[in-house]
Amino acid sequence: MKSIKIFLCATLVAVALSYPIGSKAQVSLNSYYNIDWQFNIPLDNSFSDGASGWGMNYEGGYYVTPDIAVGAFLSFHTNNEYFPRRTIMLSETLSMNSDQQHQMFTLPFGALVKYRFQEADFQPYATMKLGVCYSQFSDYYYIFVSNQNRWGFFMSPEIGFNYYPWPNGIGFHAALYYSFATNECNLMSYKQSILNNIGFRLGLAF
Amino acid sequence: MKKISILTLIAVLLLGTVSCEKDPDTDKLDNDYLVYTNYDKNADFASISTFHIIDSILVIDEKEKPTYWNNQNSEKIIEAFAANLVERGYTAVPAKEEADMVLQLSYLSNRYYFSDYGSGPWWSNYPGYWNWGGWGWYYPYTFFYSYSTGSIIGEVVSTTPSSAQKDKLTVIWNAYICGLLNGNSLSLSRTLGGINQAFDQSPYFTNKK
Repeated sequence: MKSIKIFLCATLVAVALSYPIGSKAQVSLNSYYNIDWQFNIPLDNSFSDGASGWGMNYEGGYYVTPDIAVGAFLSFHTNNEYFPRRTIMLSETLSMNSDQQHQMFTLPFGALVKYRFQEADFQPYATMKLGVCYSQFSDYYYIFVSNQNRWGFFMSPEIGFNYYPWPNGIGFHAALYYSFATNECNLMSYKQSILNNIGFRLGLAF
Repeated sequence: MKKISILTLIAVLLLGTVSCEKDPDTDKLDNDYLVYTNYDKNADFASISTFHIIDSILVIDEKEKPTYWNNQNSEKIIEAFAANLVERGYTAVPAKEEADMVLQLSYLSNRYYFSDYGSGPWWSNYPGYWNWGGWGWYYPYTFFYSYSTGSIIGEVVSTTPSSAQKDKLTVIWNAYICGLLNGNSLSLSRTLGGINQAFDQSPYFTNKK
């Protein structure tokens, strides 16, 4: 996790240093960056179904044509769910009674293709993201915790807009997304074969 | 314009300092007992009639010589186990030689010593446990515990020699109840609640039709 923080900080510093104060819309006419807070809602997830706003998204790209950009993304999110006291079967004969706090942490990253519908201050767009997803499932109970780490394939279509109200290159970003990952969870008595999520992002555009 | 730019850079840096992973809200956990139970799926609980409970609770601690817990609290703990067994249709007998099954109780007051005696049938190495004419014990199922200080362990041994291992008796049921301390002292009400929970989650443990 520490290496991820270092990577994110390095990315942000790189973005900040490359940011030309007083320039016109976007860092350059051919590139863009987004830094977002995100709200994620797991769909039909038996391990952790609680919606939360504990996550962020970072992405950047380069316009290879006036409308089409290619780039990279990295995001992370944590969803928690509390399970009141109950008895679960850990095997055919072993049972456990406790309350539990579940935590699902996901960190997808990969490549993206973006299409913007117009090159103006207001830029609606559609994006497709493909990559891999690291996930950590944690089950906290009493003073103990059980963990499981998994990797999976990740795919996420997204629609949204970048809006640049000022000529200094700073704008706003809003997006709606759906994401799909093949990460499996088989922890304690909980089984989840696919991660489906919807959510939205609000942030800054450069 | 310059002001906006500086604010933007500050915002970027603030966003960058946000931790990746949100710590879970473990304050929601009730800090009450945690109960594990396990059993031998080949055991015929319906064919068992009588039981005997060893009248002292063995204390697993730092001492080399065995110590036993004998006071009003230990009596209430033993009574709680006995009451649950009677409720399940079993009859208490005064001598272990007359019983179809024997319940042995232990209290873990020191994690280090407990772990030191291994993850298998630990009491086979621990001094002071009750014996059955030199017979050993075995578990027909896998141990799956995370031990902590302040725990009660109850184990029911069938006095009928095992067909799988002829020189050993089978542990046909066990319960591990932890989270029983309030500070440094035992919470008796929580302990009794944990004992009742151990039987509640073991519906197979009865000879009632």
